[in-house]
Amino acid sequence: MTPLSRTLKDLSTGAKDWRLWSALAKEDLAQRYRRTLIGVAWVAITFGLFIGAKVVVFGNIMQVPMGEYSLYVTLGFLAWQFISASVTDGCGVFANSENWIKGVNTPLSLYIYQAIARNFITLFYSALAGLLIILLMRHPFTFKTLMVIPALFVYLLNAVWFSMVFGIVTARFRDILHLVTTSMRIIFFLTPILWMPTQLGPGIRKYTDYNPFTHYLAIFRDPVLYDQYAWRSWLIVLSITAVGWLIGLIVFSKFRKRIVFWL
Amino acid sequence: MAHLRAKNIHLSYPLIDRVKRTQTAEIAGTTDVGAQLNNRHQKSLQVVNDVSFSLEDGDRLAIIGPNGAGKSSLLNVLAGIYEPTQGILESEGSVSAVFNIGLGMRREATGYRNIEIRCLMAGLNKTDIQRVTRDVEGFSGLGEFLHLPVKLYSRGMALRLNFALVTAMRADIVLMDEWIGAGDKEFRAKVIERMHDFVGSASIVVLTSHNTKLLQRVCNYALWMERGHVVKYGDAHSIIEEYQTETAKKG
Repeated sequence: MTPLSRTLKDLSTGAKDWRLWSALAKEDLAQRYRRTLIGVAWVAITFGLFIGAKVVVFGNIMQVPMGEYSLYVTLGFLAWQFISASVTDGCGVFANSENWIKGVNTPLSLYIYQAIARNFITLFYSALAGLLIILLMRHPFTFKTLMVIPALFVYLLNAVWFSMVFGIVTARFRDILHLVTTSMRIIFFLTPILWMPTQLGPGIRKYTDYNPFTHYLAIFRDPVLYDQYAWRSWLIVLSITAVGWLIGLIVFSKFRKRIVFWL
Repeated sequence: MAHLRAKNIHLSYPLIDRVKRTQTAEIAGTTDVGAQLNNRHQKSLQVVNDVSFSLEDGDRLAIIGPNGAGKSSLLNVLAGIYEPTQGILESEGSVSAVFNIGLGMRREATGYRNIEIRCLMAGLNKTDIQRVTRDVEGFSGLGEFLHLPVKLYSRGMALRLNFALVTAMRADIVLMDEWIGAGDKEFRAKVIERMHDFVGSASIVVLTSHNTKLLQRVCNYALWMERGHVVKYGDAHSIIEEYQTETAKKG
């Protein structure tokens, strides 16, 4: 078997173990909220309160209608939470599963799916709070709203390649995790989540366009909020996804069998 | 029909933590343990060097040698956890690696949940999981405690759960790093009996242990390793005998 076909086999046999990785993901969450009264409902409450506080504080500063701004923040932050968690968890995906990886012969992609499933469940609960906000604002749903489904699917695809690359790099160079975590905190402020590009002067505005996260958010937010497909952002996101997968397959094929020695 | 064949297996372990090693060339090679560590710039450690053997149904292989001879590394290769740097490993049949019986236990989760997760990890289907669960319930004697989080268990209770679970999952090929035998007095007799059942039901067993008497009793083949190399391979009884005389001389 060539290294590439081994990689594909790892990815497919790992995916088939869905009962296992979903159980592990649920267990991760259960552990986080063990002995709490309301359990994972905390996810939704945290999200709702966070949005509320942000809208109250920033909504008055921004010169945007309050209704539009609260939807803008809700949708943007919903997507950002998942992206940001996928990025940081993607780095730790192998390092955090050291015991299993050193103890049993399982496909390594299993741990990638586990992390993604965990973040997806969290996203689901946050989305319930998000949906409530959207309904309260009486924002109309259109056919284009359905574009959030392919957008989420693309998020999942990106989480996989990112974990393949950065899970391996982090297993070898542990500084990467800290570097990435810090970077994501900064990127949060550099990405249009709390502010809108239109509020910036034209000189600076063009730089937000160079930020890939701008486009990842746009494909999720724009169809719901502005009834626009955001084709240009889609094109950019899909190109990054394709290149990312190419790099992911190469890196994973080359270093997959070495990961265990780096843990 | 299960089989397990190793052809010229090599394994080198990358050294990535750049620990300051003060060892000089003069004292290198005089250590009692481990593969050769020659100089501080060494990037990898050759832990298994050209190991070959062939096991068929009914065979029991003992791997013997001093600490750091490469026994556990070889077992890890056989389990598929380490991919060999060179050489071919051929096997047929389900493999169960018993290296750490408390592997992946989630202290916050209940005994039942842990059974389920470990079974899924071993790739068991629904009916097998049910069978294993019944078996663990029966053997461990933990009763209602299986509904409680494992972190509330005493050491002895956790051992009962882990042992019952590991030995409930039967496989064609069993790899063991040290024989398992512990527990309180009353449990110990049950453990011994169950270990024999567990090992007896496997068609191939590969085992390391410092208990040479046990190895002589259980195994028909022995592989004597030192510093990653094979010193001798063949009939268990005579090789273990020879190994014992050799170590007695050194000691």
